[in-house]
Amino acid sequence: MLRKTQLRLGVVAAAAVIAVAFGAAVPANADPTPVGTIKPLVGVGSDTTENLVNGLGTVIANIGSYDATGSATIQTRTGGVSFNRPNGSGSGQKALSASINQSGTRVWPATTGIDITGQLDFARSSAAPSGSFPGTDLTFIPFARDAVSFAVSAASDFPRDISIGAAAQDSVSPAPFTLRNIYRGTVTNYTDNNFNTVTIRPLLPQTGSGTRSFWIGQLGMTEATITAGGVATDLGNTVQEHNGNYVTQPGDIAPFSVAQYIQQGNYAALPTTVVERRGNIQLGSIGTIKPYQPSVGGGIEINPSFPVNRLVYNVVSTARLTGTVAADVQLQSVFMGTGSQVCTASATIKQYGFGTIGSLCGNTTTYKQAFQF
Amino acid sequence: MMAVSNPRGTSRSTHPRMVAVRIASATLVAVAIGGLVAIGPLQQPSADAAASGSSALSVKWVSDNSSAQAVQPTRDASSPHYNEFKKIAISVSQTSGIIDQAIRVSVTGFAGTRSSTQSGAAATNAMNYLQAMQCWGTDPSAADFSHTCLWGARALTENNGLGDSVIPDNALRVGPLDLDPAHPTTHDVPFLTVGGVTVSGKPHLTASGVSQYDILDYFGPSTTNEVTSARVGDTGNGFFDFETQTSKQAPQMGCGTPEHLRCWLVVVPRGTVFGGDGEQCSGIREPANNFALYTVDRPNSIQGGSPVNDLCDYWKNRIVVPLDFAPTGSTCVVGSSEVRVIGSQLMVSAMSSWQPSLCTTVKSTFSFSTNPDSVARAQLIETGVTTPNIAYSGYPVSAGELLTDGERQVLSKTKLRYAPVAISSVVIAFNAEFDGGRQEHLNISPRLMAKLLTQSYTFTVPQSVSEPTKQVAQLPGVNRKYHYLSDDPDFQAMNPTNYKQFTSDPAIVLPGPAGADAIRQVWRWILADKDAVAFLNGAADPSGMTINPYYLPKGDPGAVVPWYLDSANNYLETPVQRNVGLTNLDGSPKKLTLLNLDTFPKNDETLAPLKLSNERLRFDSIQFAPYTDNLLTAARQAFRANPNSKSYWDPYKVTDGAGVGDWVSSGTQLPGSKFMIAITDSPSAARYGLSTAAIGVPNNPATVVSADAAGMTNALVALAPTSLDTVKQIDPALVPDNGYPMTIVTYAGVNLTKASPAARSTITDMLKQVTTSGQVSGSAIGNLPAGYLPLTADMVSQASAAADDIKSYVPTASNSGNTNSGAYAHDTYDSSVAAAGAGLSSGSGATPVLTPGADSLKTDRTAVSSTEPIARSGLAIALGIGLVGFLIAPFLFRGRGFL
Repeated sequence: MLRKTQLRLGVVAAAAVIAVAFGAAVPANADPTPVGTIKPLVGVGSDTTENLVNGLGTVIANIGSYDATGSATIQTRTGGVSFNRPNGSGSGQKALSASINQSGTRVWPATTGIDITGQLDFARSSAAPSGSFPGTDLTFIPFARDAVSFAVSAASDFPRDISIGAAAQDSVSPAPFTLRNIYRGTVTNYTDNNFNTVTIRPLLPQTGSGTRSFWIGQLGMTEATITAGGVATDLGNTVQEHNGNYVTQPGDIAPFSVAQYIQQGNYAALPTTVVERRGNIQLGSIGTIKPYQPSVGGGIEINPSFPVNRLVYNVVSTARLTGTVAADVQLQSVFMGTGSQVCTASATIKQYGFGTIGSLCGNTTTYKQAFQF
Repeated sequence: MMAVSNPRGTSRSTHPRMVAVRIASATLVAVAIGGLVAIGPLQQPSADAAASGSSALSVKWVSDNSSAQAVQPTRDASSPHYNEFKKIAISVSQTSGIIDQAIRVSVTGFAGTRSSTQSGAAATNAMNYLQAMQCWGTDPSAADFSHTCLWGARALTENNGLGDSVIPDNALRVGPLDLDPAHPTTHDVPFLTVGGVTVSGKPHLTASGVSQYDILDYFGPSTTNEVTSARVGDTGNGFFDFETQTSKQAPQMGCGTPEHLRCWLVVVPRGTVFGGDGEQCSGIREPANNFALYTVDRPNSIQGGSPVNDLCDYWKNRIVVPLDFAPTGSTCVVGSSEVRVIGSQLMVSAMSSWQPSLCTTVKSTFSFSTNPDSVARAQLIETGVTTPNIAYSGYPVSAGELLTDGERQVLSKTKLRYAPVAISSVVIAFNAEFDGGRQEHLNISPRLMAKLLTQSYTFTVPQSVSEPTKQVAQLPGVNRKYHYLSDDPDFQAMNPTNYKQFTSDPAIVLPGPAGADAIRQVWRWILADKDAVAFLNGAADPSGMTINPYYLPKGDPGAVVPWYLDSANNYLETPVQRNVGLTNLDGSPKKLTLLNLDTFPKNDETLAPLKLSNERLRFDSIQFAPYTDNLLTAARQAFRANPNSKSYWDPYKVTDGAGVGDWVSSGTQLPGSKFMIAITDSPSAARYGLSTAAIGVPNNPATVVSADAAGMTNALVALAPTSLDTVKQIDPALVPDNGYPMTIVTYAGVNLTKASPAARSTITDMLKQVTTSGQVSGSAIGNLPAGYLPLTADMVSQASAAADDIKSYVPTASNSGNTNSGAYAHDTYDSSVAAAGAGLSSGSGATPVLTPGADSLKTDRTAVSSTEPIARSGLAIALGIGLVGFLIAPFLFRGRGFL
């Protein structure tokens, strides 16, 4: 049975789904400042790493990074076009692909947009290359590590150490107190220090956010099965990632980026504007492993052995990694290899709460993907 | 993608008695297959099959001595793979008479599947697993044999059903190096269609620069039968079910056509040794070695790479098993007469076996279109010359069921005769695979089924994480507490030993929206149980669970739900009360238990998500759990674990003019958390190797009975007269405790008044055959497929008598009406209409002339005025009343064609 059209559309749809990502509404805009400043290496995309890359921009003068949200359009080159601000990892990759414009026919946004050839140099991504776009056009260069743990209200007696759980325990009764079972709805309350029963409300960040899909995947579930428990909720799709103010009740629990948690705590000392919006949350340990640890020289840093973690990337055109023109060499010196400017800025990476990744930083051979439109 | 459970302690889902019957009739299989030699090459049954009396075949990885020995690759004792595979043997449950079905593939002598997070790449099935695919090439030793294998349809697409079960490049046909469409390589592992088209195994760029993977034009995750990974138990043994696809399901492979009656099952074991050299095979890397690519023969390696890629060496380890397909095309001689048969879906499997045989013996093509039994009955008495003379259904035509007085008048003037043709049963089939393995046992009581069918559980109504509590607020409080089926004490009581193993929620697959007597039998079983009736009438079960208010009669005090949408479908924080419930067309309340339902209604009108954010629309019950076309597709859908639930918002889906974004399928269930429950029939369940639930005996649900041959046989004592004494149907309320209540007898109804003598003769020949040799169980053409119970001796003689009467029927001068007797009377003579008919029907009143092999339906192809001799009043009625039916029926009641 031929299912030509249907499947083709399916592939396109899959591409599209990845593109949906919503930036946290950071009030202070963090495009290259002052407004109108133009930098040689322009990046757009993920909100998870936008603050970090802004911070790197303070020590690496050539980086000009545009946040996921802010003004509707951005202009990235002197005399260049104004185009829609890409919002999220997937959008960043699409815009970068349109900017590379290998076929000469690409526009941004796809089909309805304008020609943005040459307007972008890299895309921020908190997601690994997708198997849906096999190819090597784009190179995902890992440069830091984020972790995700659960956040609960600091004022609550919510247990602070919970294991992630496994499908093998699904048939165990009573259900073990695990994160999987909390989101499956088989663990629905805990007992506080006054021996009162507190009903748990498992929160999910908004649809399409990287933290949401990462968290659901880590729990061994899918968007289709997360509804089964009848308790996991995004509160009418209003819960924002990286924002602790949505954790309001003693029974609330939500996934939270550890890097964002540390970074927002360091906001006063950071060279760029980072809004502290953690509310009154505390991060829990997973399987007795703490999400962060004391840092040499004071403060806290991400715990490299925390079990729930992910790499974050800067995405560039593969072709430019072997280019010899000045702009390509500049790009290579900023991103490529452990000696690159980004990888040597490990102090900034840690300051923004992310973990450093040693010799994996700047790797340009492992993580590849085709253009995404 | 399928998982395998260890065969120890588990029973085959095919009923033991059925298997025995199938083996007993193997001689017939061999004869039939031998008979096909004339049609296609290589059709000799294997020596094993002939010797053991079954077409099961076992092949050893090394030193094979089976009939398939010649097609196994040479094994190299110096290969690093040799030691881990040398004890492997693969057994296949059936290798001849293959149709669109499932066959069981077992392995022994392997090693337990291992998971790994090596290299930062997590895979549940990392080492020691099996891959399987179907190939159509004629020479399994040919260098391009792998090009004829269906593989690669789960690659490069979302919702591929793989999850993290394997390293993703397993699903490709080539290595990652060949995948970059912007930098095309010369190496390829294309798929060759049987029609001669070469389809690249690599994506390429279209003119507009989009990466395009052409394989998906031919197969996709929802159609492929490739098994990307099947797990092996710790003992080194295991089994999985493989879906064989004939040319009907997969015309690109053409298996079952005369040129390709023999196709192949290829099983590729994947051990622990890496079989390629870097990215030409797999992109997997070593973090500890500066992310260097794996090299060939690396030991203790997570298995990356495609089994069909010649730049990996996995293909050399394949085991090849011949599969001899039953011919799929019509074997009827072109130009032979055609007899239209309509009616019950329960006959699909039997007719697909009988039909090719009938055209050689009866010399007629019996074209079968299923439609709702009630519609088939109404069509049977239609008098238009193109309407069928024969219809399958579970009940006789009755005046009470007919919609108009006109039809009732026609019925009173129509002579009908009924012959039993098949016994089968409606089953609750399930596919349940959890972390703890596959579950083969499930008990369902009438009340549990009533709960599932009335959307009384949270997982049967549209769900969303947006407002999860309000989303299911229409359900009573106790119902809302049960997030999983296994939470319900009622379910626990029915399945005391294994309820905890059902750790995820089932997707319910129901045929519809068209009705069927098979569906009616489900309701009759439910309504025979007083607890189920009480539940349907609104009473609480012992734990306090009550029915979804949408299924109560309108006006019932309970038929009120909180409604969170205003008249413009905007979300309301504070709900309004909304009166719901079942009504008749005139608005009067309708009670579920008083209906003689032959459909599965989905009445819950909840829309999800209540609060829209980036979605443009909401989805409803039908989108959440779409109907499947029929009983057979229900079985296939359950086998493939595809709920097809349109509950995933794709913001970029282009819809027809209404804007961008729509609800799309959330994909197949992932390995290790599959739970499908489908209403299907016993032949379809047997065909797809589905487990079937043991169902509770009405009013004694603690006693359960299976739809096996014994259960069906024991149910036959409950045959009770319908509106006709000779057409008896099993009354679930009367079935003894050891009988399967949803057993159902299907009858062929024949319109004697309308059928020409020639047509009656053809039909008689057909009935004589299908009720005799067609009742011999077996997988050969003309036999009775697995899942049916052969007719009893009484039924065979009843059918024989009916067949004789049909042939010898002589219209007489007056009509005694449709009162069912052996003595046939003339149809009522209406002179006014007959006068009109006389002018057209030259043969009016003439002695019928029998023309072997011809029937009245030839008139499909000729002018009405040249009809063969027809009893005069038959034509008269055709002109006077039947014209309306003739004009409208083809449009209204056109059945869904299967065959």
